[in-house]
Amino acid sequence: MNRTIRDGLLGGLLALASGSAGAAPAAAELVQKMMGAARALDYEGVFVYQRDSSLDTMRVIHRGSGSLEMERLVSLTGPAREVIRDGSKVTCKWADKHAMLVEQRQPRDLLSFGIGGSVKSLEAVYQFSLEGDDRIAGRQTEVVRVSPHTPDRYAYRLWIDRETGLLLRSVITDEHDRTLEQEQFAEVAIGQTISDSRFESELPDTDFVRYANDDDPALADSASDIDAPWGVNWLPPGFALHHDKSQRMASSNVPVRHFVYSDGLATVSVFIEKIRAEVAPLKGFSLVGAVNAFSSVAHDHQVTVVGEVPQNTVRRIASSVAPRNSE
Amino acid sequence: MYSFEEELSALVDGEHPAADAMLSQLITGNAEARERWSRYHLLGEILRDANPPPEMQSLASYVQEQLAGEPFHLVAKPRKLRPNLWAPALAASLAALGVWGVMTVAHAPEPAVAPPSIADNAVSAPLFQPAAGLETVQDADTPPAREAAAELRRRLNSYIVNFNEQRDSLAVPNVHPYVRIVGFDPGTPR
Repeated sequence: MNRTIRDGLLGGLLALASGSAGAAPAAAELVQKMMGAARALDYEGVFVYQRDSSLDTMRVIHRGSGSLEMERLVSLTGPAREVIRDGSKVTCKWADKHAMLVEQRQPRDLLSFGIGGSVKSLEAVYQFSLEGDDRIAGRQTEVVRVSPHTPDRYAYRLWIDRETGLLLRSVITDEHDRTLEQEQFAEVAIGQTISDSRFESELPDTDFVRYANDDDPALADSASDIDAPWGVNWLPPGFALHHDKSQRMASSNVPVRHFVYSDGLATVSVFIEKIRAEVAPLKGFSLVGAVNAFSSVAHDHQVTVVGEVPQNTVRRIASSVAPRNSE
Repeated sequence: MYSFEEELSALVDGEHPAADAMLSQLITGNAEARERWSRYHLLGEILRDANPPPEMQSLASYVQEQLAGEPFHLVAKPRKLRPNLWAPALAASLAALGVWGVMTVAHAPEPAVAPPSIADNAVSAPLFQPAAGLETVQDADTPPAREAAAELRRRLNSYIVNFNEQRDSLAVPNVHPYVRIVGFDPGTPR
């Protein structure tokens, strides 16, 4: 994506949102502003992440103002771990396993979705409402509730920094308003100059075994025996296809077809792989935080749907997956 | 068996092995936990015959101070532990708090060669947990069954890693897309 164009659009959107300062900005406008701010701003802070019954404290350093988006995420509790994102390269380190993984990944698509998407389309499936203001990490925030019109997806509460649009707290809740997953900054500094050295790992590379699939053609996206047309015949309203690719799973090198759908807030992945005789197929539900998965078998293929949507939704989507020629 | 109150006392004294996680819990936890923590902190000060400093009377400021003081080097912070005391007490109390919940820990052997991917890193414990009351991937007692269960988890974890990577590329709102990967801590109760 052309950086100049992207910066221009981001700036325009941020200016649009800030132009309404003084009056209470519309909830949907705030969300739009937030989507751009998370990528465009320079910030550093410590936040708490809670999922299920576990908690983690992490430090994040993010720079969006340079030629490449840079980010470093470090665990402050538990084993030393970090993720460094340098443009489209992601390096993950686990000190306890002495393992380092380097991956090439897709650049963030800021125009075709999220920041570039229309809030009007989101309003077709979600209701946006302001819940007043609050103070997070010493900063004034506007609290936005995003409630789905139908129970096939989750609700969100977003604490958006009034000045910059940065998301300082987010909570995902189910239809009973129970918290499934949340993140909250305990401290944050926004807009300060962040030097390159802040994105350097403090874990010496010599202590790690390096695994990289960036230069391994065997692990690159590849055609596979699951390239035949497959269809997802049911999706909640508002979900649209954003990616359809064949890839190899890094852990098993097995080719997998991967469809990615989103309604602009929630995302669902559909994985299809041919069943192997030596491996038992997955069947049933699993979950982590707000992410549910459902696996089933269809036409000698393993179908697994993973998404930030309720169990019934992932199951219904999985049940609708079939080869095109079987419809 | 040690009580929740005893653990809170140790937390106040800075001797609790899960102090960071529990302080974090206080940020997002319930009002009762916050009140208890405050009471125990004040009680600790009184027992030490010391006046609680004003800044300590504000839970929020104290927690933020703890987080701000967290060292930013990737070395485990040594803690003074009470030997033979906190392991059973912590497990019991975390279960009571729902901190450890029902998450099961796989006993698959550590990969001999080393994990070649994010997903493989997740092999030694389930990133996913089975949903109660539904058809799930179950643990079994025999070594082949355990290995099979580990393989299933490996595949599930690969799926969720890929899911998160795609999700990140779509610019959907979340503070940080990689928290589920960084935060994954196999086999270590918190």
